[in-house]
Amino acid sequence: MIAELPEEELFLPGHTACAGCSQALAVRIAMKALGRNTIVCLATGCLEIYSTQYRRCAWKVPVIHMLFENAPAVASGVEVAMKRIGKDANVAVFAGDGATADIGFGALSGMLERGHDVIYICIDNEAYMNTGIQRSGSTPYAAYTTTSPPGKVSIGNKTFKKDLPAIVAAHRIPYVATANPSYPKDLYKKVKKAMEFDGAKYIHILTPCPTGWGFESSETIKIGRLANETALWVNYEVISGEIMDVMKVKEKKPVEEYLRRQARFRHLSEKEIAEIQKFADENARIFSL
Amino acid sequence: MRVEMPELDVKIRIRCFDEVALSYTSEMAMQEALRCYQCNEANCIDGCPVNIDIPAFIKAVAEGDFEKAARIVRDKNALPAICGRVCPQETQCEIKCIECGNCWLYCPEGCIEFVDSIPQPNYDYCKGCGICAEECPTGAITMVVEVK
Amino acid sequence: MVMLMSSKKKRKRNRINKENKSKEIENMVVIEGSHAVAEAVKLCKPKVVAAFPITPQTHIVERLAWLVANGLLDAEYINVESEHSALSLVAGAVACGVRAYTATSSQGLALMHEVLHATSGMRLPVVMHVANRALSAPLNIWNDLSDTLAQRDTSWIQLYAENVQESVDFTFIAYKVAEEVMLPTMVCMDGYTLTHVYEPVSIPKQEQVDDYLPEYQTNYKLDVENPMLIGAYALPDDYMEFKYDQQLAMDVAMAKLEGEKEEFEKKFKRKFDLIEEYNLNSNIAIISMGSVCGTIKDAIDNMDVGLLRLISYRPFPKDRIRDALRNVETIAVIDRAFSYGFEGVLFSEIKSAFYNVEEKPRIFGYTVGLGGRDIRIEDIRRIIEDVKQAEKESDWIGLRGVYA
Repeated sequence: MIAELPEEELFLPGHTACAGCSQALAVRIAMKALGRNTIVCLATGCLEIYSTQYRRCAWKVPVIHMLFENAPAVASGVEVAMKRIGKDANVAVFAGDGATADIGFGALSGMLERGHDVIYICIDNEAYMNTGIQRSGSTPYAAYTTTSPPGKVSIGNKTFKKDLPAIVAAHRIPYVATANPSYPKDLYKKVKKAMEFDGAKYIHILTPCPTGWGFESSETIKIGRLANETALWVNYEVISGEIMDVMKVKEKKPVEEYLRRQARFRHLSEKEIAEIQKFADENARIFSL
Repeated sequence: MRVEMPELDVKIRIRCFDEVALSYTSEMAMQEALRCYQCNEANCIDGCPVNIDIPAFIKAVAEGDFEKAARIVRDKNALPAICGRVCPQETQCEIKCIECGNCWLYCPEGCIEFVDSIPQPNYDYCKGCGICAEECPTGAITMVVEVK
Repeated sequence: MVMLMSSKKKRKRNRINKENKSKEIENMVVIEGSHAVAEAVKLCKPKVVAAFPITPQTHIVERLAWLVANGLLDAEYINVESEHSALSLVAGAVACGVRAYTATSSQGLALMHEVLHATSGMRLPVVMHVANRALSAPLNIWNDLSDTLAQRDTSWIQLYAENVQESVDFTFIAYKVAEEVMLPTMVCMDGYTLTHVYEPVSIPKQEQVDDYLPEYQTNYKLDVENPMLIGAYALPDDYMEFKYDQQLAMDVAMAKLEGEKEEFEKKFKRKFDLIEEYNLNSNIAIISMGSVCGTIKDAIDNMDVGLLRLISYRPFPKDRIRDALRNVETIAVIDRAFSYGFEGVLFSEIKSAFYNVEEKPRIFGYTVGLGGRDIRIEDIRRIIEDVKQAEKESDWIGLRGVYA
């Protein structure tokens, strides 16, 4: 054990993620919690591309990748098959925000509704990053993406993030949580906790992206922390329909501290910043931060 | 969080030769002393040019026994008052690895290995992202530009 | 439930009886086509069944639900939220080394399109019945072959049944060959025409099927004891060889299907072949697939015309077709799907099969019965007359209104 986490790496270095990719960190930590007795189902996306290239697989566990929007359905099939042949392996899905909020939304809802014993982990870098930074249903308000660029008559992305944890929780599954790789021990704890429940589990991880959000690769962990410290992102759990274990913020910071460090928000005017501050304040109110 | 050293106001100190650092109060010193991890094999001692038993004197401060702390320092250093004011501790004892594991924890690649308890990146896999240096609490890791 | 006893059916049944008179007819029941297929699937003992309803396949999955609910089929039965997920779930199960099943039609098959490609690319031996139905738009729930023929490039083995018995029998052959060559297989049966009719069918006993179809065993599966990646990302340096492997597998599938001719007859005392050669002694022959061939046989029974019925459409038995029709001068291809902007699907393929043959027959194409339009014996006779006139290369038969 190092820093209270198992030493063994089940998600190996040598993959071709960008330098400073927090998604890679999140997956690395999650795999320490899941362990060797796990079957991973991937959706097409950054993670799948940089870790499952033919001849260069970064995984030490069995992995299946099929398509962009069907990871929850594939995982459902893996789960029932494993159950049938009496094997108790964990079944986990890693899928991006595009796969989860948009194209695979129906398949996710079906898997949750049927209550398959699967841990679904959404790694959210707030856009279709793998294909070059296009807007997804999880892209935040006013962010630059190539398909929601700011311009003479545009502020950037016009909508706020789809509240996936709330939608998932509405399916009344036993465990929902949000996490952030800037708090790796918390992430580890949550994956471990999810494994204790029978039925469908969902963990939504905010994964800051140096390439897509526009910051130095060394700043990744700091940016992630700022997301929590400005209340734009909240780490919490929903167990049996109740919000619990909200990660409090010692010193709440104004959203500008988070926004001005990222190139994707560079174009923001006072008006947009105020809107975003309102959103953060609302979060702080809802979660009593 | 490091307890900030109170300083003489700028407007005053530009007109006299009084010391800038005003010194901690007893409470501030004890609070600051609690930050020490009291490592079993303290690397900070090697960082000190005269190998003062740093964890021991800090522990004495934390307990409020300032005399004992002073004696521990005097044991290795004959001029502690002068050295304490001029010492570049940020490049000596403070820069040492405290084996907290942060670099290993936050590395997105998982390419940091431990050699004799000291973390070493595996350069076959290190992408030079700089997160380890950024997250190291003592600044024991420096990023070096290899190619411009 | 009403038993349909048209005169056409009586004639067909008499033909079957005449053929099998000297043979044992075991386990005969009069049963709805879709239910017969469900019984066949049950005999194959899949461990996972994914179900999403679409007319006219729905009775298959409904019957399977009833079988599972009453402990007659010991399987996981999952009601999925779309056909795309139905096939994805089944693929995930097969990737664990477990036999699985689903069924669909028309829009459902179209929705599955990318999953069809992925399933075959990942070499997962899924078996699926498709109750052939026309594709929207306009919306139409009745029978033609546009749904499965639109998927001919997906590297799935495709078998086309003429009657309910074949829909049943091809289930066993499908699992056997699919699992041997690691390619998914679809058994195509005309929607309504075969799914919703009652026919006398021989449903084999469990021991017969167990004797013919071994359990699915493979090392190619998700297993924590032996981790592997299923479904890689292949750069231009690697992709083409994966795809060539699939074509080689299709060649092996052709050989395996040929091998099943003897094996299947031995175990079930019924014939199986990649094509059916029906009275191919004359100068004129019709080529077609599916249940329309029953009507064609009735139409040509007292004529000097033969029928080549294509059973295995993919792999396409080019050499068998050339050989069977070596003495035929004129061919009428009867199509139940059309490639808009060009011509009938089977028409193109038959022409291409004969292109490099020295002495080519003349080949004509006729599109009939789209969207469930009835195909009458008069229509077949009209086609034969047209072919003899040899005026038009191709035509649509049975159009009404302004196009009549």
